Amino acid sequence: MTRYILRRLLQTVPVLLGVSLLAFAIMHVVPGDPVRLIAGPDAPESVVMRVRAELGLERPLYVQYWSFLSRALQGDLGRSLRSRSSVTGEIWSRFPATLELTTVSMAMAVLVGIPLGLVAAVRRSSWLDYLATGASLSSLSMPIFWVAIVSIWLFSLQLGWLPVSGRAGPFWEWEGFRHIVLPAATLATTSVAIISRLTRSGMLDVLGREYVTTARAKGVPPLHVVGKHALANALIPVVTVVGLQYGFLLGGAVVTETIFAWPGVGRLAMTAILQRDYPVVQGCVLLVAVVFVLVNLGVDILYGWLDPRIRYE
Amino acid sequence: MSDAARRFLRHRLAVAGLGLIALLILLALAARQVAPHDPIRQDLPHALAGPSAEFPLGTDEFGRCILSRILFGARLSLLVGVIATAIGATAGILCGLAAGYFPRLDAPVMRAMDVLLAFPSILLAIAVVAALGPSLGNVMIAVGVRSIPSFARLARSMVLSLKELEFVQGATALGASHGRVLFRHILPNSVSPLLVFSSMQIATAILLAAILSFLGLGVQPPTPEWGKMVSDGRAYLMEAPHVSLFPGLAIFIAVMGFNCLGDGLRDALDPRVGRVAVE
Repeated sequence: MTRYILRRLLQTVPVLLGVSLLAFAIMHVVPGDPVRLIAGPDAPESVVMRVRAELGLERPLYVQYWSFLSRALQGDLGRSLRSRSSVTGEIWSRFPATLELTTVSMAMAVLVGIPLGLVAAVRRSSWLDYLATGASLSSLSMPIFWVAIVSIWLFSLQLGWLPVSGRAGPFWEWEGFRHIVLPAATLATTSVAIISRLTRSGMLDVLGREYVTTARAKGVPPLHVVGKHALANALIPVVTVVGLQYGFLLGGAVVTETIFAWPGVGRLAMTAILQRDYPVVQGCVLLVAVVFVLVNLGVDILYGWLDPRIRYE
Repeated sequence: MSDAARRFLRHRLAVAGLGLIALLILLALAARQVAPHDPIRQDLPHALAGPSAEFPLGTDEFGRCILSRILFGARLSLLVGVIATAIGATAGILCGLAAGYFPRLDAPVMRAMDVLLAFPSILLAIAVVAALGPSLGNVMIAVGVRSIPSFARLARSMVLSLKELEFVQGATALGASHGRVLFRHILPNSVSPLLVFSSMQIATAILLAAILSFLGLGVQPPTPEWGKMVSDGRAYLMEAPHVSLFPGLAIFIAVMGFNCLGDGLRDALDPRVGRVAVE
């Protein structure tokens, strides 16, 4: 297992380097001169020169990349072009809100997705199965921003049950909980569909195996067969997808946070993109990608632990 | 009738999906004839009117007919879905073929794909448009780039399994060039799974392009685009929810159509390609 973990850690290094290279490239593929964009089209040459020097853009590209990488490794992602405050500070002050939103959303997706897939598989070809399968196919086809708008219209504007937007403290407090329900449920829509589909197909596969038939033949109660013998094995691939989905939720948070005015990294990234605040965009992209890579690494290690065959491939 | 066609026709959802897409394409092509109004012409006295005989799906804040805008918007959404997928498929398949066929290229190409996969797709697309600037062409590129690694992985796995087979080894032994082996022997035998995956990718591409437009990074006004229409309607959610509701429904129907078609094609042509597994 240690060798497997070490191998996976080593494989992550080039990917992280590539991620940093792409994040670095954002500033340099902007059409036209980024300095002109930042300083303004009518800025005098002296201001343009000063901004160029401030950003270090007059140096060769490889020197700029090396400086970007070494500063990023020390936690310095530069300064925002708008607020002039530290990008790392801005991101860290918003990261807990995003982490909270994605975690609650993932919990919702697991709590709804797994039972939905389980019921669909156990009651295969019944109306329950068709309903669950239809619901998951529909969720996969709905644009997340539309789900958000329809739920705001229904639950906030028409019924008045939940607030329209914003964050009001941690989710374990009543007001905080009321504020997180809509954005988290919206963000969970696609993950519920994917998790339930995977649980259903995994369960159908396992329920047809000989050891399940043997357990049934021995007179093991049906609930025990499904819960202990079948589900435990069917859930192994679900673990991988839960991990991957967690990463996708971080990306999806950009849309959800923008609509629900959730004060997280996604909203910060979106505002920075619209304001062309490139250091903040770079920082947000880098952070989400690094978290995504590390989550995947964690999932792979967990998967190797759950299913020993993976380690020897 | 071939076995695959028979299997496809037995898949009711797939047939329904195909029917939906055919209808959408037809409506998009005939938008000028079918649409009751000019999609861009403003009619302020009728602003935010609810559904009626004159405006079957109501009007937006400028009094423009929502049904007409949806019909014209279908052209754009379908076009973006298909072209973005074509961009991703072409680049991804070429990378996958090269990585699978030439062992020296395998590690560098696939590590580059891993880097692209390290970005959540929405974020990658947003970052690309943010860098290139908002426009229809850049949306297509951004959405296409996102699917390159998935296509590359699929194409690579097809090459790895096919290149050991006798007909490929035979062609190589007879002196066929690398290009001939790849494009005349391996690629034609990989068409089924690639086709299945492409149909599913069109659905994702339509969704992603709509997200970019919703965020203001896609097509610019007054061109009718479904995602932008939903976004514009947000401000009038209280008094006129139909402004956002109907364009969103159009996106849902189009994406559902391609998802159903993809499921059916997968069952008919290539049951091995699992949607979740590949994505």
